[in-house]
Amino acid sequence: MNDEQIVNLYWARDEAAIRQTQDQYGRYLAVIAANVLSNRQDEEECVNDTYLRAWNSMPSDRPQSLAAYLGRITRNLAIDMYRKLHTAKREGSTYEASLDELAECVGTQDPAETRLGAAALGEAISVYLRSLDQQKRQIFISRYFFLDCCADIADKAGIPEGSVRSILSRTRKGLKDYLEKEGFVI
Amino acid sequence: MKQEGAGRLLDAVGEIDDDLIEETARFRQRSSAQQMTLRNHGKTTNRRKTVTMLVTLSAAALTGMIVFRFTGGFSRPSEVASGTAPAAAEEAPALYGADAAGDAAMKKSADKAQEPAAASAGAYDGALESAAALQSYEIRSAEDQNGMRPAYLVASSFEGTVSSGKDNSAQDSAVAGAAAPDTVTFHVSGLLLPNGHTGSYEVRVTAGSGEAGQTADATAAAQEERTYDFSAGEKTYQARIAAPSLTDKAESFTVTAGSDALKDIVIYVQDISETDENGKKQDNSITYQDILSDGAFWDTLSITKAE
Repeated sequence: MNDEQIVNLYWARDEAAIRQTQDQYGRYLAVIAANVLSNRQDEEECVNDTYLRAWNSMPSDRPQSLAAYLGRITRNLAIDMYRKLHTAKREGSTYEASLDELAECVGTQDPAETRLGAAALGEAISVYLRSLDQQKRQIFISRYFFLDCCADIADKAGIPEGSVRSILSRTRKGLKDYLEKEGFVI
Repeated sequence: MKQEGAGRLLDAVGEIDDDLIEETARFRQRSSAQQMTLRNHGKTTNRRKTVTMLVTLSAAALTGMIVFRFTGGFSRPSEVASGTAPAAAEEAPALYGADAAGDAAMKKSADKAQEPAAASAGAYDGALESAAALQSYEIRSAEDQNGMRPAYLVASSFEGTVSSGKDNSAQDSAVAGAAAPDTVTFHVSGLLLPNGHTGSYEVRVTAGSGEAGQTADATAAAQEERTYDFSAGEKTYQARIAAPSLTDKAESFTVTAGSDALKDIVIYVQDISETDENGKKQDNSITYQDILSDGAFWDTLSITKAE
């Protein structure tokens, strides 16, 4: 069953939509949740919440790519859950490591008056990512969207882990320069 | 303030365009599959490679039996390793686990397998070296529409016996295409999965053109020899074989060709999971589950007469 057919099931309010989603994307979503959360129950809860969110949002949403649509929901739910669970202490998770790395992209200017919404900033980041070659773009998105660890990315890309870190470092610097040049303040 | 800014940036990355996410999702899925390939075969080359099996038709064939064996590895084409362009949207289900997509891919593989291929190393049983007449046949793996070989788990060693009650010409026809009844027995020994993994595999045998004949379903426990009444007619024969531990099992199955030749043998490996030394399924089996979601594993071993 392809994405369009699954989305049609959602629109028809057919519960088979959930089963199909689970069959085709369950493991993919579980990996995303596991990259952020370290507890199996939390991961499962996050994935189940993804199904619920999808059920509640279709209709009216009609996503073209369920991988992107569902992946985004799971990722954001997982991050929200992580933040909720870890407000008091910081732990050495992939999420925290990603956060530390991305802090390099943040300027020193007070953003109080110029803070952008995530959607607008996401659009700007998309433009920047499109200017990169495919491998760099995929490595960046693997790291900061899917929150994969560097070792896994290196395995997947078939390059040394050090190269992944170098690419990420250069890409972050490039992103910072781009955002500043475009007048964005984070 | 930096942490807050980083948090906002991380949130913003969550809002990037869908096509960018999709592109990387595909990269991650494919790469997982490639990792599995490399793990199983210990290969690091990026060269496209086919495997060749030399089937020796010899004096021994006159007695009704020939033995073949090939030892080979599989690898991946470099364009996949360096990242291919995003495939068409309709291919997406194959990346996440649609059976239909897997079947479609298999069909493409079977079609593709008919194309000529460059030969690589092969070996034949030394016992038959004294053969009066030697003929070579290629047995090679197929690639999917992206040039990637999705066959991660086909045996890295494969032994088979082609037997016949007929004379040498009948032996020939069993693998080359002429019309003659024959029986082909393949013995797939181990190495289908790395240690600690379980799964099942399915064997699909396709006849060449000719009259369609009877097919018989057969589902049986591992290590039980199966005889399939098999006749031609562009028919795909399927038999699912559950193997609790393919690593340790040897599978034998017999194909009795009716009025036409054997064309393709497809080994379809699926339901992979990893277990620890106590047989307990491990939590980290997600990697293999991920790969499974690609639509399971398959390979086509296509026997064609070498030119």
